[in-house]
Amino acid sequence: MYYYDIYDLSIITPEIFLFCSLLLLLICGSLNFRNNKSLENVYLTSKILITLLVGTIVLLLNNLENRVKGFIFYDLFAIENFSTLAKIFVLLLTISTMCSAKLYAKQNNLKEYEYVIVLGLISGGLLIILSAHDFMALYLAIELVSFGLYMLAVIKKKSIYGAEAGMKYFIIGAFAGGIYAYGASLVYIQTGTTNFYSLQYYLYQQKLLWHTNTLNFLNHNYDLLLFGLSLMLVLLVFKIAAAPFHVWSPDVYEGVPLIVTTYYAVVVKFTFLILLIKVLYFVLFDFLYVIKSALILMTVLSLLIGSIGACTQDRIKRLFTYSSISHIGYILLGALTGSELGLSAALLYIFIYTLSNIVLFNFLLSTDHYEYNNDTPTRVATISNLIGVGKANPFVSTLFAFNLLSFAGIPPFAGFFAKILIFTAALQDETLFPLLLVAIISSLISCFYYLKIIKALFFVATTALTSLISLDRTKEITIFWSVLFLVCFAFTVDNTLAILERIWLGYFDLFKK
Amino acid sequence: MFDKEFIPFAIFFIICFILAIILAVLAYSVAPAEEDLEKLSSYECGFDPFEIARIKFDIHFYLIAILFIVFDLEIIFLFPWCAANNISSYENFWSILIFLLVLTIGFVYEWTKGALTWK
Repeated sequence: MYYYDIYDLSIITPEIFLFCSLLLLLICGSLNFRNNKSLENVYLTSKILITLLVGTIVLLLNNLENRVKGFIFYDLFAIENFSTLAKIFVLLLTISTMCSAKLYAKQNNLKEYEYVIVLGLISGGLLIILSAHDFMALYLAIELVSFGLYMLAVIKKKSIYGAEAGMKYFIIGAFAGGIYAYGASLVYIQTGTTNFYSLQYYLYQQKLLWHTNTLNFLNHNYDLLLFGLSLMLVLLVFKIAAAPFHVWSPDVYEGVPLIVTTYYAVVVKFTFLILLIKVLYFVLFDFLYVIKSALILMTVLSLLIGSIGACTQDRIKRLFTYSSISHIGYILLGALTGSELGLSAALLYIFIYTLSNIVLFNFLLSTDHYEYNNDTPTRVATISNLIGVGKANPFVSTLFAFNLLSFAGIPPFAGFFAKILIFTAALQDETLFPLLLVAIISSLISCFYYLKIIKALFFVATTALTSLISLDRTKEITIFWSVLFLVCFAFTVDNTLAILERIWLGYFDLFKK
Repeated sequence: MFDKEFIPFAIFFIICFILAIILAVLAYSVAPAEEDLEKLSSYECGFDPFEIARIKFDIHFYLIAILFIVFDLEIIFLFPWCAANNISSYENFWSILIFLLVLTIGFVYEWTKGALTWK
């Protein structure tokens, strides 16, 4: 293992670069812009932030190239190739979201440049989340990110829905954070540490003791540790909105402005999914077997509530929130198998799901819809608003339909391969057969609402004037390349497993000489 | 789990509890309760001491109070840092300086934003 001295900050150069330049940006902004609110200032700040993020990506690529690894700040942070790669993806997703947001900011008069800086700070927090190697450091990073997200939720100050959603998100999120801190304190009472590696070692020892049946004599407080770890897991599954902890997500995703929903669903969810996989597989692997029944329950509830809930929804954002709950169910199904194949499958599913989400939200961001006898455009809110889009913009609508088919898991598209890999991983464990059945049924149900949208796009006769008037160059490019990847994934599927294995093996660089 | 090292905390907790109850009871029983002019006049923040809760108020007082809390907490961090500075390392020295730097940047921001000017 490589331990870095506290004065040798070379391995966390990307994070330091990002945070220092953001502080500089805040000072420059406050001195130059004063109270002069204008769209130009927002654009300028956004361009600078994108440049900074690209710079951070270059530094991270340098880390990746040189296989930089090690611990720093008394083991509070660990840098290794797996998290470095995840960080690069997070920053790329952030840049993509910001590019899509340009037209939205103009249309909705978002004139405060501070939100751009908040976005940068959230990105920095996400980087810290991915490399935190201690549960308390992780807690601080999650809180840093959450504060920014609460601010972003109320980006439209006059919107009642935004205020309601922000308030709900804040209260429930703060409560989940409190539960996490309580769990961490219980773990600390039991083990005297919150460090990932120490906990991993402690759990491994407990497992050995458990197998030799001497546990009861040596340590009678094993339950306290498990209770604490379960409470900490609550925050992680809360952030990805898995089923018993999903209640906030339809309201919040519906209420906040569409561009913020995009950020939540694409960037933040990706980070927390990677974090959950990392915690379950690399840190608390021996705990995974203890908590397996709870995870199975969570998966069943996610799959059923997600797919059945989405059937009843008519509003598009709500529908896709429910559909995302069922997708979380598939990822959990891959994660709880505890096998190498399951790990690879879950990672592939996360990647493809995020890519599909980008396409989805870029499409939704570009839908504006003219009411009959009314010249002011309104954003598409329900499925019936989408009627006629297929006639007005056939090419983009076809790409979007491909994306929906990929979501549903129809064969030639990438979603199918992600799903079948998950099912293959679950098939290896005989006890998971009933769960697999639930997953397949849920997959069938989910076809219903994806096909319902495709029907509204192409196969309903209408005279209403509906077209994608907010479709600009950036969104076109993003949608086109993402869907091209989803379609062409079938040709590269051969060596996918090898690539995924190389990716997650990056974590174990930490413990190699 | 609860070793002997937690006993001082328990004693501390019990004493706090008893002390709080005694002080509350004394405040009700011993203190003079006549209303004089000084007691009925408004506070510095412009609020009357006795009035209904549902009134309009200026958010500015609360903004100033929140900003004050931040710098109050800074003092709370600085005080033990000063006290322990002769026994601690350079890391502690620089970490608090970085903290002060970040806080100062926030201060510059709120100053230029006009949160401190009284309109």
